[in-house]
Amino acid sequence: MRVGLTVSSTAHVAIIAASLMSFPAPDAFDISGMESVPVDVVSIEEFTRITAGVAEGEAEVEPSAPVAEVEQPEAVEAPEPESQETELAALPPEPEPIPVQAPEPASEAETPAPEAELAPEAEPAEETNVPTPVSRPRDIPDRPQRPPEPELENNQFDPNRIAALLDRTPDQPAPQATTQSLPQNQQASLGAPNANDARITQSEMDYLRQRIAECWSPPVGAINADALIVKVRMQLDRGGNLVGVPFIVESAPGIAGQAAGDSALRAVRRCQPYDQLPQDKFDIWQTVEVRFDPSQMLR
Amino acid sequence: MMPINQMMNVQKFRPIGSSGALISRVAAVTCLVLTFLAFSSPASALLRIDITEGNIQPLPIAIPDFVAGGGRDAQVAGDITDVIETNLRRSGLFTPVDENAFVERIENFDAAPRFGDWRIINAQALVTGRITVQPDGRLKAEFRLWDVFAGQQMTGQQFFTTPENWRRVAHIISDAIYERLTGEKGYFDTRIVFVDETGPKDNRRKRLAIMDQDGANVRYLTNGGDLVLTPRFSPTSQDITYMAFTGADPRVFLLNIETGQREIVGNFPGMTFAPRFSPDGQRVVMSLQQGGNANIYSMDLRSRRTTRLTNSPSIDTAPSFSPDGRRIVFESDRGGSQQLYVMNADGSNPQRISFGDGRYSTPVWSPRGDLIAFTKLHQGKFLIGVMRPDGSGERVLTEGFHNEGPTWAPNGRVLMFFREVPGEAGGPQLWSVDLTGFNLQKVPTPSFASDPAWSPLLN
Repeated sequence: MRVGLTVSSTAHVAIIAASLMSFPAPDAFDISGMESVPVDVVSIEEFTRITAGVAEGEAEVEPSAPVAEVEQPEAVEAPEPESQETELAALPPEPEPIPVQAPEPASEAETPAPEAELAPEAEPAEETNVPTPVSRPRDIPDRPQRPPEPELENNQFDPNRIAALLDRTPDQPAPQATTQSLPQNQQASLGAPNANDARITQSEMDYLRQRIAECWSPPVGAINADALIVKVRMQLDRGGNLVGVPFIVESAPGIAGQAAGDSALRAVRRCQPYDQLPQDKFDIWQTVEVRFDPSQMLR
Repeated sequence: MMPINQMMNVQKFRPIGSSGALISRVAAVTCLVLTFLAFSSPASALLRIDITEGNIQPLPIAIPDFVAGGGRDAQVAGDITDVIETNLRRSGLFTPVDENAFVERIENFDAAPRFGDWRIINAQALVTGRITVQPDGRLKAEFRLWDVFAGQQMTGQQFFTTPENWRRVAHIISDAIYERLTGEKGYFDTRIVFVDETGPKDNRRKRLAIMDQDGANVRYLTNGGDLVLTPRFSPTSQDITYMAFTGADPRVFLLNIETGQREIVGNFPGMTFAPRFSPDGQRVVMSLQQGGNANIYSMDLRSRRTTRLTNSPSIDTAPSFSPDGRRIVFESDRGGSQQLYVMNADGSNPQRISFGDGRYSTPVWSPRGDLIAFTKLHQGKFLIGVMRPDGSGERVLTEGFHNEGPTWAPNGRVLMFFREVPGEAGGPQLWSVDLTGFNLQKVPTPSFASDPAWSPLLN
């Protein structure tokens, strides 16, 4: 009896001990390897507004001042494109010039980086430390815009730049308007092929928006008029005239949706040509998707 | 935008490939071509913009006189055009372009107009039409509605009718244009029943009358012997219900406007008021006064059975069904002052919905269900307003010395009501206002008029 008890307890203890040692504790849930991608949900409108930048932007710019050969001072006057007009009103005078002198640092600037101008948005380069500022001699001046993409070895394939690779746009006055946008762009452009919104300036967008809005008289009497959202896609030529027939990408069903779609099409047709758009950015605005949303008008 | 290129090409090719071998060859070639295209054409971005503000204005529309098939048709062609133009203008949503500005003269109904000529004068829509009297004497009316900027026909229809019916044809065409351009049903092919008032102020002769929505074709339904009030259309038949004083007590009547046959609704001992049809036309709700109280009753028109819906020591009156027939809005002073309440169609669960200052009365549920119109007395003024069925979103559309008795156009976008002009020579007149509150119009009537009720669409 006692032997039995002893054997039994010993055996139990042994089994428990064995199991404690041999059943490994689960590994800690390790997520360190995951790359997190910062995502902001912003409307396109907000996005352009954000990327339009803020005057004091230069503050963080200077420190980073990654690139830029020192010798580029002239760049200073590199005039900011029209984009400024609108913003200026709201903001203090042009801060950009300042950044220029900051530059000296990053000597690695030599990295050719033909893609530089393509990279839609000039990232702010908060992570200054990151070397390899892909910089274009010419444009650098006005701001330290360089695609931060840290890992970016010269020849390394960067999926975020596919659009850039395909872009044959002849050299042009550098991605203007980027100046102030620096800080935010870094996130906004994440991998999105269309992220070069940043390259069309706020005032250019506003021009287009106003132009179309003037001609848009949505049907407002229908019962769910505020839900009658219509998306129209149009193709423009260099003169800002419609090419082919603008078409509806998305609209509400029923006769109300049809009337809303017609009103949107009438708007884009009536207000052509959109001839104040910058020629050098033709690639960006040659296809436009206009989203007509009457909900705010009807509140 | 490569994907789009590809998609478009594929669609174009698809119809060709009907046999297997062909399909694969075509597909192979297509792939090659597309690959080539994809890498050779510069990639362009898609620029997205949001338009959240528009410029709401009446749509400029050109309505040249309809082409007349024969010499004698010219008169009626011109008349029809005028009616259409007046209808669209009065809606407030269209601005007919002055015909003196027209560059092109439409002479051939079957040919496409020269859109450039209409663009120049900034017409965004164009209506062309043709009127011909057929050998059998009937009138043939055709029209086309064109989108000037797109250079396309938006709609086109033809009608045959008797020549006397030319006004209705004009209204039907107006409705078609209105519907195509605004996305809502029109309301031009409708009629109004109202109380025509003649004679001195202290001894008015009140007759039930009916006319087209634009004031034409007035016809009298009663001879003026009885005092009549609050006529209401049946939504489904040619019947009208109204209140008349035969002797001392008001009674609710049913009248068939085709046959002139009339009968008393219900067999109540007391006075009955404020009748109104249910949306299916099968029942009439009204209020019945008993002593100092009034309660709401519903009567089934086939079985003639009545059901009591409210039971309160207060005055409950002016019931109006929601378009789905499941709820009823009414006015009651059960809370101390006249306010609006909504209850289920069986009388259960009454909830007060009006909470603003003033007294609310004559609620009418919109035919599309989204709003309730009412009369409100506040600081000595009578206002016509609307609110949502839960009482939110109250808006005043018009105000004045005396406004009362709103009735909805069948599309739920326009209200008609009567407005009293003060003074010895003054009297009630019919007015209409749309939901924006800006398009206020007087409705032509032969003399003073009150208590309008808008019919459903006739077609």
